[in-house]
Amino acid sequence: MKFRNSLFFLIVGFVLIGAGLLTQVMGVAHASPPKVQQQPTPVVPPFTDIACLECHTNQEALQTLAVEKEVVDSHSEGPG
Amino acid sequence: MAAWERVWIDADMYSQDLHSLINCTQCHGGQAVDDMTIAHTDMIDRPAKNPETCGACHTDVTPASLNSLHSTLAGYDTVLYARSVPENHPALEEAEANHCNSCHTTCGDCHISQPYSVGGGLLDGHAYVQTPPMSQTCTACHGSRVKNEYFGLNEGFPSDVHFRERMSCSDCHTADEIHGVGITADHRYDGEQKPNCEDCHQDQIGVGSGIEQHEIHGTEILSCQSCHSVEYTNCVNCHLSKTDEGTPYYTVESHNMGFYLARNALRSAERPYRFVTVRHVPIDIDSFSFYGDNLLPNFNNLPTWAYATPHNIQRNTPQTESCEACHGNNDIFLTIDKVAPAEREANASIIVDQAPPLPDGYVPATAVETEVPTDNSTDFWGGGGDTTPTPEPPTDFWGGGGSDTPTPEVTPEATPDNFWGG
Repeated sequence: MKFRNSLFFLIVGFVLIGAGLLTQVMGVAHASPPKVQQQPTPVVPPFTDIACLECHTNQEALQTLAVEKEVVDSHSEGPG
Repeated sequence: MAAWERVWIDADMYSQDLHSLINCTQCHGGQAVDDMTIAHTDMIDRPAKNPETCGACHTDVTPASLNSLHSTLAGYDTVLYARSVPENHPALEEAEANHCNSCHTTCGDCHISQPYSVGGGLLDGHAYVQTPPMSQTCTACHGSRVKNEYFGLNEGFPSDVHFRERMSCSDCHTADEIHGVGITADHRYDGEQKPNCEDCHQDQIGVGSGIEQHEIHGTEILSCQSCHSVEYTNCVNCHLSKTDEGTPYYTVESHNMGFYLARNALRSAERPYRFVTVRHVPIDIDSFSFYGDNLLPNFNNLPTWAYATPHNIQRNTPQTESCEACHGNNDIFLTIDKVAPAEREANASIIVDQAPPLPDGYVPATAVETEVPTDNSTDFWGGGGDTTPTPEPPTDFWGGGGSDTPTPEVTPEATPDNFWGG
């Protein structure tokens, strides 16, 4: 009698564990993960504007070419 | 900044910047050719003026930034329209366009270059600067008041204690605040206090702080600046005009240093204080008369002494010297005699009749030490029934026993331990 009871509980235990595992697997398989809002990846064309950089990184060239802003006398008086 | 420095790209710095992957002409227009004239034809010197330039990638911050006060300058409209009527708005907008709108800031004005309104020029060789440098950006625009106060450039007045602790603007003013993220405000003091002293000083505020003056005054009587700032700049009567050549200019009639406490015109849950520091703003009923007659017909709708948060905070100030420094001292309160007659109606709601008196039963500290039991503090500060007989106050203000010697002036010594807040 004792042995039959133990066997019964053993079988029930296996069935429950099996059902649990099956549920997990099915659940994962059918779950739909939250949709991640994909930011549009900016398309950056290859850098080709070498001419701009060649001049603007050349301190000597800029010192020769850059023009000082015309300073306009301010007619304003007092703290701004 | 020399002309060449304004446009010099630091190859080492810029090459580390992700933005260097983008073609120059994509943001700046023009053409990438060797001929300088052709290269610069149709060039856009401030590409960030176009919201798409930064907004195409920086979607988290650009939309908010475009609606922030830094970008819209809506604070001007708020205070001018409140004093005007809709039919005058076009004339006021013309005046703003000529005199105010150059202060619009774009993303690039802080993160790439100095603001255009102060002459521009690349900050760090065109590299993107995550936290804009205080002197070249923030105080370059906020100069005449904030900068002078914070750096201690007003002669005779100390720099802000936070400056002395090497704190910069962005240590208190967060990126979200500056970019207007989560903020819908139509003027500087609209909505939640940002920054809030309490964010850092949470243990030192109000009842429970253990600081005697904070325990006494709580959190709803005085703004922090009321006790912890010193004199600041007040400007009077700015008038706008144009030269014969059409160059706009302004004239501020006068400016002076002063410190005044007045009733809080912006009293709210966020700013519950009864008294706050107020600064005279340079508005006058005729400020815009160059652009039309009577453009501010509702001039009296707003005070000319405006809610202010001076940037010269000290731990110890003349106000913290003694109770009498404020109580009974009309000199630091905006009483009617300090308000120009033409502005009294505009300021009626904030003018203080007279300085709050000392509490009933108050006895100067020197007398308390010698004559009053030490356990009557509840009654002393007006918190309960006055069952203890109050001794007569000394005949002399300073407890000197009523000698004929003139009372010494209440001038704090300029030592680090008191006035300067060291």
